[in-house]
Amino acid sequence: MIIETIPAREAEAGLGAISSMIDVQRSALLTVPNPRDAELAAGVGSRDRTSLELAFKEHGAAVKGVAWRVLKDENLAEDIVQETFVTFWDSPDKYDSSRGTLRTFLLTIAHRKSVDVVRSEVARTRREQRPPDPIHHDVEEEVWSRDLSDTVRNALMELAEGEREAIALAYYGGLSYVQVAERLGLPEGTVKSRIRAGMKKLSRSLSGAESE
Amino acid sequence: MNHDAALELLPLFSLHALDEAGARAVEVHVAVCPVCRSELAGYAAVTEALSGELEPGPEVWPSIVARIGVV
Ligand SMILES: [Zn+2]
Repeated sequence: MIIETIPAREAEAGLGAISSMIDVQRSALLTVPNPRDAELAAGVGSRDRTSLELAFKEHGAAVKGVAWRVLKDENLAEDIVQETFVTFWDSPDKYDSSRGTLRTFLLTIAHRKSVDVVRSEVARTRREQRPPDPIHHDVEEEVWSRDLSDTVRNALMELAEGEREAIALAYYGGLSYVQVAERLGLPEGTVKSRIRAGMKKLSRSLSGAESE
Repeated sequence: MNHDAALELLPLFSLHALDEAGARAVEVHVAVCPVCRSELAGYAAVTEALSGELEPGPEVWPSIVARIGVV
């Protein structure tokens, strides 16, 4: 695929619109260990600010992306970006490059922190100020929103509606599968298997896009 | 937690949709199981793709610098 020949710097510059295809390609790369990650973490461990800055330039936009998806609030999302990189600075030894990429590590921190915020009172208040949307509408909105690539959108549209809905509520809504079950009025086992089936399909179709 | 049980929970784990005890049990197994780790990497690629990217505003990096207090 030609995307591989696009210089990394272009993607890093965050020219968001250049292409969602680049995002997909980069996310596919996520499963490949990156020797640079260990270097950056070691640099941060030795209190080198430049290493943290490089990590921020490389992954800051993805970190904000995940936070915004959950929080739907620019300021809260940027707070999470701050928290995530400060957390990495404070304990870089928590990152083990043999177990995954730095990007995954940072996105995991950001998603967990965002979910915590969603469950906090501040977010609840903000959320309550918005007009209530039917669940279904929320999910469709996520699927069609601006910064998802066609590849991801198509992969989502290939899922059964119930699978898409359960995954969106868990990941974008920050709900546990038990809460998803409550919200949809379904047995917990049903939600579990819908999430499992949907994630397997997504994993297959997105890694298929990688090898083309 | 054994391999089969952990493997089944990985999709939920990757979405942070398990409760704390469940997540910790999966984590403990994943730490010692390369098969589950590679499976999990595939799900991490999915969650990353679902997130998209948004460039942080110009004031975000300076505020991180202010907090870590290093010149
Ligand atoms: Zn295993």
